Amino acid sequence: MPSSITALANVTLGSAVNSVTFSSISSAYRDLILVVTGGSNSYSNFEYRFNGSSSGYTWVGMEANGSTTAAASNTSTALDGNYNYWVEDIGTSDTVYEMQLLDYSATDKHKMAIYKVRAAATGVAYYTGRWANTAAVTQVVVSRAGGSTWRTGSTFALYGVSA
Amino acid sequence: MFQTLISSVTVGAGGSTSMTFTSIPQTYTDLTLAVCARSLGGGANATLYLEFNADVSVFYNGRSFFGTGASVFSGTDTSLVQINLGRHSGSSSTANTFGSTNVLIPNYTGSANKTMSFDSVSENNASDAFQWFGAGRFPKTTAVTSLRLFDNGGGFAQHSTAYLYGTLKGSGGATVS
Repeated sequence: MPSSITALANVTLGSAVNSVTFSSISSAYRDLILVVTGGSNSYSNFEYRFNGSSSGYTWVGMEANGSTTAAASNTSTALDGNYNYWVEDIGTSDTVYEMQLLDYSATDKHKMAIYKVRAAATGVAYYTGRWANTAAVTQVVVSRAGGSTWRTGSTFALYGVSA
Repeated sequence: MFQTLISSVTVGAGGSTSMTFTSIPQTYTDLTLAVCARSLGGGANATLYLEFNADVSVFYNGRSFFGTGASVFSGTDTSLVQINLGRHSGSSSTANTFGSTNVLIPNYTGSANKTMSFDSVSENNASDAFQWFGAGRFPKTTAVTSLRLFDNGGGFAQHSTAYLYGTLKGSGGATVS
């Protein structure tokens, strides 16, 4: 049977908010895909968190700013980025964020995510991250660090991928 | 299924200078473009371009991260009147190989400047092949109604294909707040 993708939930921000939360996520799929367009008007890092947890996140990645490239890695309270260069476009044009969370409902493995951040005027980055927890993911929070906000008009769409 | 095939192009005998989608319906939220192409020229690799709404009146923006099989680089495009999507296979690449490109254009009917992301690889059974990871922007607030693909190698070889999909966002599988 070929895989298929189902739209699960989406929101377009009518006002600036610090975070968007997808909860009660159906466990009927194999992977989750989250697509965000928009960004912030301030230099605050984007953050992905699962099930409300702020521990156990590590990631590695590669970043480019239009002239140079660099590798990066970090242990953090969330899956984030902007380590060597500020990849996101702040306050002018939209940044495109794509994240795929693999085997999110499994309870026998740590959770792996591939996430990409791309902005035509600033930079591009490709990361893979781990949440060191075997719990099934039922909630995904997309936030800005330091209490900053996603700007009005940003869009967030969650999809489920069937095996 | 959240993706619907809007239209496709398959290049016939003799090749074609471009692959174009017009009258794109405005009923979806995002567009996805999947391209499998080989150039009529360009040496081992030809540069693939994407033009929105036949509009060459503005400079498009691009940032990329790319590898050659030996080294990695980052590039900036600010003086092109189209998006540079990276490289696809050229006429001297291994016979019957085609490059692959995937493009995401979110919110293509919206009133903001149009941003996009893309991944592309050329295919060549040799060391001279490219992998491309990038972002692009069409700095106009008009809705996207047409897309044109072309290259700097003189056009697309027979059997090159392009598929345009429309994506609809939806609800019912999670709550969002």
